[in-house]
Amino acid sequence: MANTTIAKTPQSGVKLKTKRRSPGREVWERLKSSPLAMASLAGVLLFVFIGVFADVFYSYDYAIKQFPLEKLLPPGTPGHLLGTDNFGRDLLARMIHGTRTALVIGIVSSFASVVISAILACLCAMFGGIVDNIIMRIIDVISCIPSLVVALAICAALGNGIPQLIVALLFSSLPMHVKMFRSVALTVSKMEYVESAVALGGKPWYIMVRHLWPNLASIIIVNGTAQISMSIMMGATLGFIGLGVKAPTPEWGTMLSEGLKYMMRNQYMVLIPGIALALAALFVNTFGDCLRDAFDPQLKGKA
Amino acid sequence: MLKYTIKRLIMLPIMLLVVALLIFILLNLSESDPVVLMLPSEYTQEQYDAMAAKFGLDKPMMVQYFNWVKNAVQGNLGLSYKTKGPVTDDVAFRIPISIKLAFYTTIVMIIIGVPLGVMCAVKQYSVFDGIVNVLAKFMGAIPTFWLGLMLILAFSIKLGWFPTYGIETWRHWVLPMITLLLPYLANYIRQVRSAMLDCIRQDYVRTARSKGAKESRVIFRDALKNALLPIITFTGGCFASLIGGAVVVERVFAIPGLGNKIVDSINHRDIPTLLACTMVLAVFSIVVQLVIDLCYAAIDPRVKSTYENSHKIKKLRTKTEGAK
Repeated sequence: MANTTIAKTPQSGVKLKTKRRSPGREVWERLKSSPLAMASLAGVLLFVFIGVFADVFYSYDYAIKQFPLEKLLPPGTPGHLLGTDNFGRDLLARMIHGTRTALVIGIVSSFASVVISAILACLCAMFGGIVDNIIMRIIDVISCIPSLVVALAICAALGNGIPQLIVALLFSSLPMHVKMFRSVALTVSKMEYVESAVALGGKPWYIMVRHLWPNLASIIIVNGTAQISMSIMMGATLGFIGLGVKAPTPEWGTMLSEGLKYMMRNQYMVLIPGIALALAALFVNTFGDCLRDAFDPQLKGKA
Repeated sequence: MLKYTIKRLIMLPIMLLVVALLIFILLNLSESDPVVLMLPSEYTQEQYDAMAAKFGLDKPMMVQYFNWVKNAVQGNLGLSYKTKGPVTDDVAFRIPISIKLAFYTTIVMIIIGVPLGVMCAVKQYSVFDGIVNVLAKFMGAIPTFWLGLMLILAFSIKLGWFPTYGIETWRHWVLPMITLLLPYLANYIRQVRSAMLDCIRQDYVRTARSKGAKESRVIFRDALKNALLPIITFTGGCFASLIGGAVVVERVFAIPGLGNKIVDSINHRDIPTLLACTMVLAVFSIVVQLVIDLCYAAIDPRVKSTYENSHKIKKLRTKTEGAK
């Protein structure tokens, strides 16, 4: 796309010879030129680093170990850098392992959600008619309940735990993505190259993989990134309400709701998880916005 | 137009039936037996059977579902497992509170959001636009419940300006409304801005300017009037989702609304109450969506004509395809 040279060949006069660079590389080049994108990427990578190497900093057992004599120590206490909570657990260790929980919940549920949505959207666009109707009516039904309430109901039905939480977040975000991907897939499926592929006898699966998915790739990546921060926030919200992960598991939302009772005297217990949560969401959101700009420079500056 | 409205109105109860069925199936997946939870820790088989019969839990799920639908149509949403009283009264008491919160917040959002969005669009890439953009990013990243806690910490505990919970006076509503408003406001301003930007670039705006119309007239008469359509759409969408988003805010500020009841009923496995609250939210969001669509058609003659002429267009299309 970028390096176009015109070479004359004796037979056909002017022939356009294009040296293509992969679209991924081009997006990366654009991302690299934006300082905001690099800064937010660094922030995201920091969180990923903390999440991946959580065990190197503190073992999981330390994060859930209670020190009965060291309850509610303020931040800065020697031995407990961020202090301890009402059960005498080290807050720094819990924050670090909470990062891992948040990342697992956010990334797995968003990834599953966009992949399933993309498949459903492609099915709608490819087969149309009754398939489209059935899928979209089910989506309509789910989307007329607020997404938080969908997640609440699923959590209530399946019980507490990380896998259950992921399923709840997955279903609550599904309608939005399916609707968005479907509209793009429908536009693409009316393109002439898809029509000609159908006319040449291309199987639906082939057209889906060869033509629809590459065209959906950018919107899938951009929406998936935005979804990660939404899932992290909603996961924390569910934890705050008292659903979500099981009790000793370090999770930011649960930590916040535990700190609620001690908010008057020990404000750090609400401040620390909240700031971590807001920072994680801010980095992921900003990076998602930059990613969208990089994929589609025309959209830049729009909402 | 009338035909379209009727079609949508017929779809409404069908949608609700399916929503109820889905929630019914979902809540029956839960392993815990509500009858056991309602009984004292030691009970006899007779007590169990009596309790199950009282709440209609001795019948298979589908029978329960049809019974529920039959009663719900008559305005009886069943008995609460927790309070053992009728759910309808409890829910009816809570609906106005939740709607009030969402409605006032939407009004404030329009009052603040539309002028700011228009200003951002008119002065695109200016310092003001940049500041609003950055603020929007920060606001979008703050979790609602945490924002509520911080506001309580700052304005209730430290400064003592506003009470922390309750709904008695207007002072009680200030903090919940701000909490609910801020995360949505950021996105709202950005949406207004992009709707306005789309219109400002149109030919008719350029024509108006070249005719020598005043800038304020161009912005408000020509651009904003046309941008109103998308603005109405997502204002309605926001209103519907504010009611859902209020779940957390109601929880933080202990407002006795629907959202608070939903969380309570989940914690107590109070399935009839949960079902009733969810259905109210579903009815609400479907009706709001319907009203938005109808408003849309009423305002924009282009949309109206597509509804009115859709059967004609279809006929024409089949005719031309037949001719081919």
